[in-house]
Amino acid sequence: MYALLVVIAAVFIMPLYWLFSSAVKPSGEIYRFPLEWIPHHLHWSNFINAWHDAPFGSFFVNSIIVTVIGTAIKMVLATGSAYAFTFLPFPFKRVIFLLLLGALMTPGTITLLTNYLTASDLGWVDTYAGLIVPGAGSAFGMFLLRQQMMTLPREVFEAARVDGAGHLRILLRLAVPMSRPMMITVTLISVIEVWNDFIWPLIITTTTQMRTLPVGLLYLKSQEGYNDWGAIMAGTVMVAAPMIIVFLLAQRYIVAGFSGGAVKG
Amino acid sequence: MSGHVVPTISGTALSRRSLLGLAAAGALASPVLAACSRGGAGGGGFAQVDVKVPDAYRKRDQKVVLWTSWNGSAGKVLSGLVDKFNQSQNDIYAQAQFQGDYFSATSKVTAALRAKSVPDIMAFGQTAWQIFFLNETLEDLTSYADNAFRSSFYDNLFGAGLIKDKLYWISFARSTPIMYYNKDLFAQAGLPDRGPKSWTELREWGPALLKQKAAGKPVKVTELSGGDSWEFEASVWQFGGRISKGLDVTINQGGAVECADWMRKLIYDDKMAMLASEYGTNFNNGLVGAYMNSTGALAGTYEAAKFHVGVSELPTQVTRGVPTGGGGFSIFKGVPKERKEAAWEVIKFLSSPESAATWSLGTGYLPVVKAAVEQPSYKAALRKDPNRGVAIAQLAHTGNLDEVDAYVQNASPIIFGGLQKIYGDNRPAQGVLDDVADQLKAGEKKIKAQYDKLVGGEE
Repeated sequence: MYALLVVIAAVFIMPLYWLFSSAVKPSGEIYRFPLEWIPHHLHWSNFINAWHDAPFGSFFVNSIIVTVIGTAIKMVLATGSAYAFTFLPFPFKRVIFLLLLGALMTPGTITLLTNYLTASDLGWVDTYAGLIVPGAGSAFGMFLLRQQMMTLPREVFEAARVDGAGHLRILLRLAVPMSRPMMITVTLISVIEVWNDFIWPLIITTTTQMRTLPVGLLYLKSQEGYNDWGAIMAGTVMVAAPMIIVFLLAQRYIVAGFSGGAVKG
Repeated sequence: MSGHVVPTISGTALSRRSLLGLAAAGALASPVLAACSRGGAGGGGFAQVDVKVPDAYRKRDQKVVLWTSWNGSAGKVLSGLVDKFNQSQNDIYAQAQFQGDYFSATSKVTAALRAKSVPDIMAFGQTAWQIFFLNETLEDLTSYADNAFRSSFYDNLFGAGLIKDKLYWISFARSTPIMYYNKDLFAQAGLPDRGPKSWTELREWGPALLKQKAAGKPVKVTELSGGDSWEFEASVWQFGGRISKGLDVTINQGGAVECADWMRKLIYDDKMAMLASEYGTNFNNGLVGAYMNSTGALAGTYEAAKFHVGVSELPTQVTRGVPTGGGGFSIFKGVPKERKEAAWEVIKFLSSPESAATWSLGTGYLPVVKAAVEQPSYKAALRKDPNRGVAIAQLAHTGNLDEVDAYVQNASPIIFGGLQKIYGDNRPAQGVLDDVADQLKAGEKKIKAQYDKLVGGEE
C-alpha cells in the first residue's frame, strides 16, 4: 500500500522536481542525456534572463491586482448568494439555483467570445475591469458555500432573528464565521484559479503593460528556432511558486473545507 | 441564426461552415457559435484595438497597431525597427503588440474581428492567413504595391502572398528548412565537411557515423520530427511526392508514401535515425550527425551546441524540395481607408532593404528583399559566417506549401499525428497515410465551396 502511495506521489512530484531543478541548470545540462537529475552547480542566471526577456515586474503586479480584487469580489458575491439561497425565501429560487448550477457546468470556452464582445462594447478591452469583472461570478464558490451553510444549525439563526438581528448582521456575525473553513477553501480555489488563468487574460489584453504572469510566459517561448528552456523553467517557477507556497500554508484548511460540515460551538 | 448564414465579419456573408473553419484556427469554435445571435458585424469602419500612445507621439494624425507573434530577441529587433519608423516621420505613430504564437494570435484576432475592433496590421503565420482570405476579411493590397515594391522582393517570397495575382499577404519573417551537421563528428567519422547531397548519401554515411560515440552513447545519423509536418513536407517533395495537388490530397500516394517508409526503415531497419521528442535536442547535444531544421534556429544552435556547426542546402532524392515557412503581414478589409494607408507606410518601411537586413541579421529569418544582402552590415555578416548564406542560396529553389497544408485547418497536426504512428510505432506508411488523407479530405470539404469561388482551380 505504502509502495503504491510512493509511486503515485513520485508521479506528481517528478514534474515539479524537474521544473525546479531545470530552472537552476544551464541549458546544455537540461538537454543532456543520460538525464542529469542533480544540477552540478546552481545556475541562478536563468531567473535573471527570464526577468530581462520579459517585464515580469509588471506581470507580477497585474497578477496580484487581478487575483486580490478578483477573489475579493468573487467571495462577496458567492457568500451573499449562498446566504440568499440558504436562508431567504424568494420566487423561483429553485429554478434560479438550477440555472446557476448550469453555469457551473458550462465550460469557460463556450462563453469566451460572448464575454469578449460584451467587454469590448463596454470599452473594457485591455483594462483591469475587463480582466476582473467577467470572471467575478463564481457558481462553484456559491455552490460550495451554500452546501456548507445548509449544514449550520437553524436554531442559532432563529435566535438571532428573535434578538432583532438583520440579514446583513446575521451573515457577517454568524454565517461567515461559522463557515470559516469553507470560506478559506473557496478563497484559495479562487486565488489559484484567477492566478493561473491563461486564455481570458490572453484574449482580453492587448498590450504588454496589462499582461498577467501566465500570459507573460509566452514571452519566453520563441515562435521559431531556439528556446532557452532554462529561462522558461525559471519563469514558470516564478509563476508557480507563489501558488505552491499558498497551498502549502493553507492545505489544512482546504482539507478541512472539503471534509466539511464543521459547526463551531 | 437563420439557415446556414451567420452575421458577417467584413460585410459579406459567411457560411456557418467557413466560420467554423475560421474558429477552428483557435480555441473559439463554441464561442463563435454562441455569438451567432448577435447583430451583424460587417459594414466596414472597424475600430482600432487599444493603443497607449507615448506623450512624444500624441499629436500624430494616425496610429497604427501591429499584432505580432515575435517576442524575445526577435520582438526587440522589431520594436527597434518600429521605433525607427516613428522617428523617421511626423504623421504616423506605430506600435507592435505581441499576441502570443501564431495560433494564439489567430484566436485573438478572430475574437477581435467579431468585436469589430482590429489591429491595422496582422502578422499571420504562413498557413493562417488563408482562412481569413477565404472568409473575405483581407484587403487586396495589389494597388498599394507599386512595381518598385513588388520587384524588390525575392520572387518566391512575394509570390507566397498572391492569390490569382492579387496580393493579400506580405512576406516578412520567412524561413526555409536547411540541413545542419556536426562538423566535429563528421571529421571524426572521416566524412567530407559538407551536408549530404541526397538522403541515400546520408544513409551511406551511416555506418561511419554509427561508430562514433557521444557521452558514451553511439550516435545516430539523423533525428526526425513528430511534432511538425514542415520538414516531412520538404522530404516528401524531395522523394517526388506532394501533400496535395491543388486541393486533391495526394499524401497517400507515390513519393509521399515512399518517403515515410524510407524514413521509417532508417529508424527501425537501419537503426540510424530516431523520432525526437524535443526536435533538435539530440543534435545540439552531439547525439546526431545531421538533421533538418529552420534557418531561424541557426543562432540558437550556435548557442546550444558545443561543437562546430555546419549548414548546407537540403538533400535531394528524386528532386529538390524546399518549402518556405514563417510569417508575414495582412491588413483587414473593414479598416478605414486612412488607417489602411498609414498601415501600408509601416509595411513599406519594414520591407526596406535596411529594415530587412536588420531583421534578418537580428533574428536568422531570411532577408525578404534582394537588396538587403547588399547592405554593408549584411555583407560583413556573410563574410564572417558563410552559414548565413546557405538559406539565401537555396531561396531560388523554394516553393509554397501544398494547398491542403495551407488552406485546411489543422492540416499540420493531422499529418504529424500520422508521422508519430509511422515513426513511433513502426506502422507501414500506406495504411496510416490513407487515414491521414481521409482526415485531410474531410477538412478540405469544409472549405471547398469558398476555395472554388475565390481561388478556383488555380494552383
